[in-house]
Amino acid sequence: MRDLIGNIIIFAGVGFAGLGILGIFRFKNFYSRVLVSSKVDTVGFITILLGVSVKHGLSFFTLKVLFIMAMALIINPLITHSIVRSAYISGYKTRKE
Amino acid sequence: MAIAIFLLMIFSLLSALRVIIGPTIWDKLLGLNLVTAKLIVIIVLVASMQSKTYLLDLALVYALLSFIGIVFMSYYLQRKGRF
Amino acid sequence: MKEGDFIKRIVYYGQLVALFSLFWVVLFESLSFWVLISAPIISILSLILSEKYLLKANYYDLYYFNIFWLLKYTVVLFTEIYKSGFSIIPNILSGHANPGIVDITTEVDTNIGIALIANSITLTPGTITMDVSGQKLKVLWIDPETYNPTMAGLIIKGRLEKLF
Repeated sequence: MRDLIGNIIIFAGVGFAGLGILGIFRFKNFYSRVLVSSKVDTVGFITILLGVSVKHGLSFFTLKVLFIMAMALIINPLITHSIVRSAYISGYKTRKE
Repeated sequence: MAIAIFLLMIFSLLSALRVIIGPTIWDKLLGLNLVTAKLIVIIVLVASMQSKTYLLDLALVYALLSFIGIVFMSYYLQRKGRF
Repeated sequence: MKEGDFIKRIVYYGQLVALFSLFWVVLFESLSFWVLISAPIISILSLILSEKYLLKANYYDLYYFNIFWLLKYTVVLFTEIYKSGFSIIPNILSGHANPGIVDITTEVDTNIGIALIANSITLTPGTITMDVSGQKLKVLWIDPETYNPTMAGLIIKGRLEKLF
């Protein structure tokens, strides 16, 4: 039963990751791409890791996966912020699609 | 589970395509970030399939190394090559 | 130093040591005697060394937080992430985007609070923090409804800021 729920959550996360990949090829402008794809990808990441931790119950494996998730929650916004700030300071303009 | 890993491998190949064709340099950095996230998820799924916990240490170290690499690359671009 | 301040300080360092010990035990994946003995020793040692040589200040003055407050904040943050994650799907499918830059201000005045707010704004899909100076944030928004600073601030970070 717990296995089945974990598998369903994992496939929902894979669907979110696929939406992020669709967003990377859909838009013409760099700002729209970074706004859509990178963050939807983070939602997929969190969902897949939650599914894995549901599948394994309460054990050291789950605790380690939760530590990886907490680290990703801190690290991912910093990476996106540094990329967008570098583009903004170098003078990239916003543009309508 | 094997289907999820296969789909994620295809997604990471498509993100690597953005690294190759990206018109600006920041597109390439964004593609690198996406490839890294997919690889970490694949490592966690493989560790869950074989239930070997030492593979998770690999994912932890790889997340930290990619963070340092991408932040320093974007800082280097922002200062136009001067540190 | 007052009496209540001293007790608060002891509780704060106690919860830091508990968190670090949990991390140490999970990395070793065993509950044997030597791991349980070495966990608090290593965490206290790392706290003292990093305060003396890297930070050159107190953790208590710079990074004060409460662990129950952090759990509550995490729950609100997850609901916000999933809500805006679902609301951005039509934008991807139709390919409609009109990004613009909005200036907002926060009422939070501590350094760690501003860093938390900026990271949370970046973490919710659809908005990215670009620049921080003092209490002013420069936010890139996918489809700006308004350019008024107070209205935009209410929409972007309304529920998150109420918890401070």
